[in-house]
Amino acid sequence: MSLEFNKIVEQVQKFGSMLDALDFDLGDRLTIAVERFYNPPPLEKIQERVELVQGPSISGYRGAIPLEGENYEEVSATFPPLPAPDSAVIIAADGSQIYASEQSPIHYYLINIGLFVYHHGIARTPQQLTIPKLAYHKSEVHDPTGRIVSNRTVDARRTVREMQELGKLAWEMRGEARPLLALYDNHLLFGASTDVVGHKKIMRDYRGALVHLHDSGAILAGYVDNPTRSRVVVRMLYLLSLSDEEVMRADLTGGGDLEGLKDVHLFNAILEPGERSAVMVQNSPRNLDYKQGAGGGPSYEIAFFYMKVSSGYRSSIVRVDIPMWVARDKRSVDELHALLVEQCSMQGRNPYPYALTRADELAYIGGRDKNKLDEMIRLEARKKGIDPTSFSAKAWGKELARGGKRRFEMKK
Amino acid sequence: MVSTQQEIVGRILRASTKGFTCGTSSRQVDTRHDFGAFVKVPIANDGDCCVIGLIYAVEIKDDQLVNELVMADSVNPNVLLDQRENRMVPVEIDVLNVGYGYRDANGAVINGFHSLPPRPPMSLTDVELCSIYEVFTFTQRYDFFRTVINASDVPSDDLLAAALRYASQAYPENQRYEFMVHCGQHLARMLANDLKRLSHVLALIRPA
Repeated sequence: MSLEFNKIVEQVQKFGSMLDALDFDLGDRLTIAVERFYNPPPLEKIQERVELVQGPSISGYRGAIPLEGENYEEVSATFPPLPAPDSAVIIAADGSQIYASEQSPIHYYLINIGLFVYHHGIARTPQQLTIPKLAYHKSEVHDPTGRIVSNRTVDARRTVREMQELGKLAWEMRGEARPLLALYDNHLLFGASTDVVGHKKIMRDYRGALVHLHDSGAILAGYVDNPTRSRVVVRMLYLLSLSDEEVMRADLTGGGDLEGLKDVHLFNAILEPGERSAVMVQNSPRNLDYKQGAGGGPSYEIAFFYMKVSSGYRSSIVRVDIPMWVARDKRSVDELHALLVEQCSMQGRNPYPYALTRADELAYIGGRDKNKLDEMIRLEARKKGIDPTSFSAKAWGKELARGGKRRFEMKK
Repeated sequence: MVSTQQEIVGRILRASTKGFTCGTSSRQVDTRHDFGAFVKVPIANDGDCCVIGLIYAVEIKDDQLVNELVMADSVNPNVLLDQRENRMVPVEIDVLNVGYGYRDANGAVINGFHSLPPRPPMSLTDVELCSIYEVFTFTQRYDFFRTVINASDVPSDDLLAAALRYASQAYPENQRYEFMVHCGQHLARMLANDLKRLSHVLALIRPA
């Protein structure tokens, strides 16, 4: 039975009426935030405030803090892109997966990593590579209690594989043109939660991959498109607006009088196309662990900046995560900025790095590929005398009812 | 270009006794895929009997990424290389069946019949360009003209003209003019009741 739209029409109309009443206006919050952004307190005051929130008496501040020492960039500063370097190699990695299914008589999952290499500045055909890995051994597919591993575990393993493969390729290409840019399609402050099978090893492996990338001399960047949940800079603006006394009493986990405002709103109002914000770091226990924890170090604390990328038709705010070994090298930041601006102008109206688009395309496992893999596995099982078709009656019933349904549509 | 050796044009995607569509990747497209070229492919379950057809359409498929790239002010040269060499944009080649024949001891398709084949070729069968000899022997008669002229959904006048210009290259240089004149005479008989069309086709095959 398909959805009975005649029963939905009235509800959709009511929904439309509600939209009129919704408050999409950010009110004065954006104006206040922009004013605070352009009028930050003196550096000494900011440093005092940072020391205060990082001290033992206050906890819960998850906002941004400026870089220290000679790497400091004024929080209100914006930077237009410099010209891109004459030559560079850009490596992009992305991954996708087929999750293990409890319903399947044979348990397996698959992780596919797509790698794309773009040679900037010289006429050379880009390179592409996919690395699929089928996991089927019980030590991989089952947790210690014998249950099938969760999707979250597969996701975490995929994240590590993405970073490891990026590291391997960066190491192999360390002799190629410089700078060597390693682009990763997500934030870099990865954390495997305790419900992930082998979470400690996963974190060790992830940090090992970061070290490998560092050793290869790559400029690593985590590209976060549409960072709508991010409000670390808004929280910082709220913090800087408080007096010392208020800081002690305030709830610093939120945005205070700027609550509801996101970093995307703020930087959309501030940045011109192509510009980036100052490099800052996020104050969080996880980032502290990257900086001070086992396998980490000062070079592995994660910093970030915002950028307004544009294709000339459309622009959007993105966040770029960088490890501290990149953040403290101004030239690397400038080269990364310039190359990202160029990458984002390469695919027509869509302001997104071309290399990441292609890495995603390479990694993607479509429904047809999944069915083909299932078929291959069933065939292999049959050769060993295992009946692979013994799936549940419920699943078979769904297959029968949903498959090949004839649809009648209005002629266009 | 008329082939002097076995050359793969593509592989069968779908087929009927009237014609077929074969596919290849965009990086393979060259003179083998010229409009009006003569191609051959074995019919289903018979390696000796081959369909002979004329390429009447070459379609380069798009996708959403290509659509976006088209909108760019300029396309980066490396992106072009990537799109053409790595992404393997699919190309579909439509062919009109104009006859069939049997392979001789050397594998050449001769003894051609200017009528539709008994069966279509099977999916994924290699489609080859016809050799000079095969084009030469097939065009010793003109009966396939009617199949082309009467074909629907095909630019039949342009196709016939292109096929004749293509076939003339299979003849020795001193016989080409004579071949085209004979073709024109045959067309004049066929299209005697449609002088406007005749005039158009003759203009298309007239040597420059």
